[in-house]
Formats: sequence, C-alpha cells, structure tokens
Amino acid sequence: MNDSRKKEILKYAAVMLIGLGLNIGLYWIAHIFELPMWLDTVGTAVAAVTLEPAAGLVIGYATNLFESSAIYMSDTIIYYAITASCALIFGIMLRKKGKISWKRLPLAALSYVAVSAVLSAVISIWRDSPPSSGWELMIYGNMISAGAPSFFAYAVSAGALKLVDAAVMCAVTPLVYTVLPESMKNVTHISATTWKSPFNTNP
Amino acid sequence: MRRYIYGLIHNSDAHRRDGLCYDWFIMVVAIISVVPMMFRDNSAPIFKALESVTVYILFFDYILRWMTYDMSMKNNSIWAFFIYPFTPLALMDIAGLLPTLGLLPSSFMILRVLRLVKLLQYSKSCRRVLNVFRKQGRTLASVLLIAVAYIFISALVMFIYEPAENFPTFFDALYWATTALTTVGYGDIYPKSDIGQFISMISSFFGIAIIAMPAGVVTAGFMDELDSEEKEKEREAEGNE
Repeated sequence: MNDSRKKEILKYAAVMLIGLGLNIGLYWIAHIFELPMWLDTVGTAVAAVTLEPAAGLVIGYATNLFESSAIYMSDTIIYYAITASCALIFGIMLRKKGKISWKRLPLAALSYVAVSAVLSAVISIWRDSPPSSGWELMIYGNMISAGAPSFFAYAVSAGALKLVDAAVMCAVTPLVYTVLPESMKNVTHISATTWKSPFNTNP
Repeated sequence: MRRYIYGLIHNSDAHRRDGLCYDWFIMVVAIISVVPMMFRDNSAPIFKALESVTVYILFFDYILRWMTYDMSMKNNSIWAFFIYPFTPLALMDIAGLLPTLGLLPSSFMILRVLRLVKLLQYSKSCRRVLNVFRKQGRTLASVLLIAVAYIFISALVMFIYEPAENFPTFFDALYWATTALTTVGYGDIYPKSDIGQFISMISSFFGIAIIAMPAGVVTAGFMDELDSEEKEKEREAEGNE
C-alpha cells in the first residue's frame, strides 16, 4: 500500500469517526435533555459533504445500527432510509463539481425535512407503531385528537422534529467543515470513475 | 470509496484477498442466518440474537450493493440506483430480510430462506450453475415441457384404465406418475390390475429417458461453462506472457 493511499484511508477514517461521534454524541444530548429534536444525522451530513455521499451512507448505517441494537429494537434499522436520504440530499445538493455550495444549504435542509417526514410517516404506518420520541408522540396525539388523518399526523410530527434537526444541521455542518483541516476535505478516491453521477463530485 | 466497495463486493480483481474474505464472510453469514429456522422452538435468546446480527450484516450488504450498482451497469446511468431495488436478486435479498424486521406478517417468515440466494451472488460455483440455467434456459424449458407432458399423459392413461379404488382421483394418478417416473417411487399408490401394471412398465421404460434429459442438458452446459472458463484463463495467461 503506497503512502498516498494510506493517507487517504486515514483521512476517510478520521472524518467518518468524527461524523459517527457527532451522530451518537448529539443524539445522546438531545435524548438526555429531552430536546424536541433527534440530531442523529448531523454527522452523516458532515461526512457526506466533507467526503462524499457514500461515506455519509456508511456512517449513517453505523449510527442506525447502534441505535437499533443498543436503544430500540432490531426492526427500527429500517429507519436507515431517513439517514440515507440525509446523506444523499446533503451530499448531492451541497457538492457541485468538487466544490461546496453553501448557498444551497437552506434548500437541502428543507428537502431533507420534506423527504424525511414522508419516509418516517410511511415507515411508521407500515410498522404500525407510534412515534418513539416523546415530543413527536405529543404532536401526533394532538393532531389525531384534532381529527387529522393518521399519515398526515405522522408526517407533521416527524417533520416538526426534523425541522429543528435541519436548523441545527445548517449551523453545525458548515462549522465542522470550516474547523476541519483542508487536508481532510474532498478526499475522493473515486475521481477516476467515468460517469457524470452526482456521487462523482470531483471536477 | 465507492470504487473500493465495488471491488470488495463484486471481487472485480480476482487476486484481492479482502474481496475473497468478504465473499466468504457473507456466505457464512447467510448460512448462519437460516440456522434458527432449523429448530421448532426458535424463540431462545441465542436465536433471536443470531437472527438480529445476521440481518444487520445482510442488510448492510444490500445497501453496499445498491450504492455501487451503477458500476455494474455498462452505461453507468444514475437510473441504476432506481432500478436496483427491482432487480430479481435485490428483491429476493430484501424479501429475505423484511420478515425479521417485522415489516411483513409472520406468515411470510418462510421468505427468510431467500437469504441463501446470497450464495448465488458470492459463490463462484453457484454463479456457474446460474449461468448454465441462463444460457440453456430455452432448451431446459422445452425439455421440461416434454417431461411434464409425458407425466401428464402417463397419469391420464393410468387413471382411465385402473379401477377407481386404486386411483380415486386424477391427482392420485398424477402423484403416482411423478414419483414413479422420477424413480422416487414411495409405493403408497401403485397399479394393481394387469393392464395397469403393463402401462406402468411401458411408461417407466420410456419415462426414464425423458426425465433424465434435463439433467443431461444441465451437465453438458456445466461442462461447456468450465471449458470456456479454462480457455479464458489460458488466454489471460498468454496475454500476461
């Protein structure tokens, strides 16, 4: 293994570990203080933006694996779909030809809120389970008692928390990106891939 | 990163040791994942844990395959990501996982056996057999059609000539024909009249040849596959020299 490859692997590992730490750490903070947010996808967005969407997808899976095995039940791993949407939306929308376009951050955040709310509602209805967060459950309960349809109640309660999540992500993602040393950014090993994929973010 | 993952799961470079290890790892996990199904009472905590861990790993493999599916396609189109979940192997992969994730009713638990489809994806020998079925599909289909028709005709003749107490329904006759012609012969239903026994002798005599035909087609295809692999290896070796 040559030195440049070793360096690349180390950079990937470092950023992905930071992302995973952010996901789990921030999730615990939100959980302990019973904040109206999840915050378990902030690190996913950071990795997707700093490295590439695939890195976000991998650490997103690691986070969901931790949550479903240590906190919830194994069947909650299916909520990975939401984490994956975060990695794809932030990674694809913010990275353009190898450069980060922060102007697109609000649009990416709003897209994430919309997509994750719909996904969350679909999965919750499919699993036939109530929302697992206290805040989400409260909003959901209020909406149901006000006569709202079940899907709408699920989507709005999940969307409300995701809106707060997205606001935090809008602040934390650029901050972490700025703090990280230049050598840790844009280390895409896939520069030689041929097609014009949004995943292939190198110029 | 995606290129690395692609190389790992598709073993694009035959000399990659990590790719080979990954293939074996997933195959072993797929086999272990069906172990709880082999016990009548599989509610023990060890089985639950085994089920959860293997499902996590297989689900991750599914995601990795999805993530790199565009690289397996010649045109590298972005549509690959939308197409992948609907490919037969991906459908079987996810169908094998959903019952454990509680996203399908318990009556679908049998779908868990589909996890063994992973062996088709990762085992070279299984891939070879799959290739044979793919290449010889038409021949096999026509030979199978002949075999099925022969069984049907034998059953019909037997049903007509044998007394009703020996073969009460046509399904019994069909069951007899299938077990007799495939040489399984449980012996629970058999012809007792002279004419019935004569029909049985004749149909078994020709039936053996017809029923053996699909096996012959598969064997010949398998040999062809091995031959072409050998030739490819030789060509590669010559190219390297």
